[in-house]
Amino acid sequence: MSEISVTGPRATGSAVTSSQPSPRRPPRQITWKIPFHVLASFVVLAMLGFAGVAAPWLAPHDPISPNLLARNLPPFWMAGGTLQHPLGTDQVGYDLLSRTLYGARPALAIGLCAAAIGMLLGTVAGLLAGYYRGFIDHAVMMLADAQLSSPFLVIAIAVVGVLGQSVAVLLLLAGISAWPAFARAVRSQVVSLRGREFVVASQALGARDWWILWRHLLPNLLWLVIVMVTIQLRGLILFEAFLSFLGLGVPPPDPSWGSMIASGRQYLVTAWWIAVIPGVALVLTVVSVSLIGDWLRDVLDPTLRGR
Amino acid sequence: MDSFGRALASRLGRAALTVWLVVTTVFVVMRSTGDPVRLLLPEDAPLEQIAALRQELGLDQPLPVQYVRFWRQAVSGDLGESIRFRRPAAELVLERLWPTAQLGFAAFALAAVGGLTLGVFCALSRDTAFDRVSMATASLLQASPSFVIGILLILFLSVRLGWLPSSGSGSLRHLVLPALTVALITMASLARLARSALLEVLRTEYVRVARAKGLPERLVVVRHALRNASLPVVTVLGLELAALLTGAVVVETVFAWPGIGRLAVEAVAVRDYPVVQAVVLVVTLVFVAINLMVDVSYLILDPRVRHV
Repeated sequence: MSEISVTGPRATGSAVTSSQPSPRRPPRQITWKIPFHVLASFVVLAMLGFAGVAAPWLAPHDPISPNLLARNLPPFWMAGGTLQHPLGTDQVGYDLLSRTLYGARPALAIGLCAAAIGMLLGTVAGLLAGYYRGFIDHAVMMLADAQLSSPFLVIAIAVVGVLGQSVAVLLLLAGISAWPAFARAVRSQVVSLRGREFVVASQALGARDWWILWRHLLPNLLWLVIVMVTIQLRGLILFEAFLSFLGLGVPPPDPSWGSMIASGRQYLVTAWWIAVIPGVALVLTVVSVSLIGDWLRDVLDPTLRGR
Repeated sequence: MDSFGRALASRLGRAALTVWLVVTTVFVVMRSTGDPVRLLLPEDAPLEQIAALRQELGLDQPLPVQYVRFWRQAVSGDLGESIRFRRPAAELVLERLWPTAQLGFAAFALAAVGGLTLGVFCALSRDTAFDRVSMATASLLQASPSFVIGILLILFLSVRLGWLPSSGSGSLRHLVLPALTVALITMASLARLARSALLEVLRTEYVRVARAKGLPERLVVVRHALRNASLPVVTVLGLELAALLTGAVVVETVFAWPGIGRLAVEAVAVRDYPVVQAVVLVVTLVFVAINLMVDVSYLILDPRVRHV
């Protein structure tokens, strides 16, 4: 077990500050005791991130040039496996270790970029809705609710089908899928912040709206947004993996865990490792992300439970 | 208007807005690729055929006119004709809706029964090895992607043990694996929820009173605790219904289950756009209808929601 401590509040240019998501709590020093499973999740994610970044140096083979002479080779610990292809090869002779390492790239990069897009859209919408209330609030919340009660995944399948599969389309769709959650969380936080003394004082001093939003409200949303990113990341990584599984995500032959799992689906009887190895990588990733997300949420803001 | 009427109106408004947004998105996306005729006809279609279809679809008209026309056709159930099957797209989609519904409802039943039983058992045997292992497995399952769970189930129950068929449909045996796959994630979250809800109720005063007056533990649990613990669980069950439908759409591809999700994926692969469009519209309608029914039943059951 290890501990890290973080100084709670961050100065926001006004006398009354608190970067705690719950505004009524006084500023305090919070000490985080990291439970073992969360520490393990951080380690797993760090390793996967490293695998993605350093894939060109770590991978024993080129991930997109098949070795036709070595197809359906099992991992090295099974009969017939060789150390030349430590985790075996697939039905066209791609090296599975190399592809799994490279597969960390789309999973993490698309997940994080989509979370950034969703965060940006949702935070701006939530800030405006919560600060100005009235019509804009109604419009933003109606839109968010409407999207949340639509079968977004099916719509995404259709949109990719019509626009053609590309990383840009995937990223945009994933980003859009995440904005309502950000908008709702940010809005409710802003609604409770805007009546507080430091905001009212700033308004009384004649500060402009953009200044209040930027200088007083945004810094107080920092932790909330970080927690939301961690919570949303799991869904976004799965979004990429699932569309790639359907053959609508990362265009071939670039490796993605989703498309690797899909190609292994037909060979479960003869070569189970083709689907299982990238599947394990994907499960490890999303389980780690969601354990960290749950923990951060519980530590920083229990009121977010269930979002 | 009373609070019930107002709340009902706002739910109806949201449902209508959702449908409108989705229809408009479909319209915009279909038009944004340039000429939908190019999407609708094979690439080597003769020019006269292109011109004829363009006129037939009204594509020579201005966009607002096209938009109104698109709506009028959608409302009258005319969603175009499948390029691949040469049949009305709406008919095709409705045919495939039943297998998806079967899968969704089977998964719902499995998840509800399995999740609640497990949750209650864990709460009653709290902090034992059984409870710890079940809850750890549940939180692992809850985070896992359903299509990977499906693949692992095929590998163990079908390839290794040979108990169940790995794909296809037609018999009850074919339904087991896909339904289990869809159900497992919901089952895990229901088990955790039921456990914590029951534990919370078991700490209350009235349960202590029931015990103090000498009621057997079985009666305390069944008569006093379970009934009160069921409120939050029922709420989540309703919310999960729509999520299970999406889950079914996802899992169909893994098991080659002939439902609406697989139809969509197949149609996208062969660029059968009228079918893709019809799938989106029908799934949206079903989805919105389920959400609306769940919302309205809360309005009836729980007056507190009316003021939110």
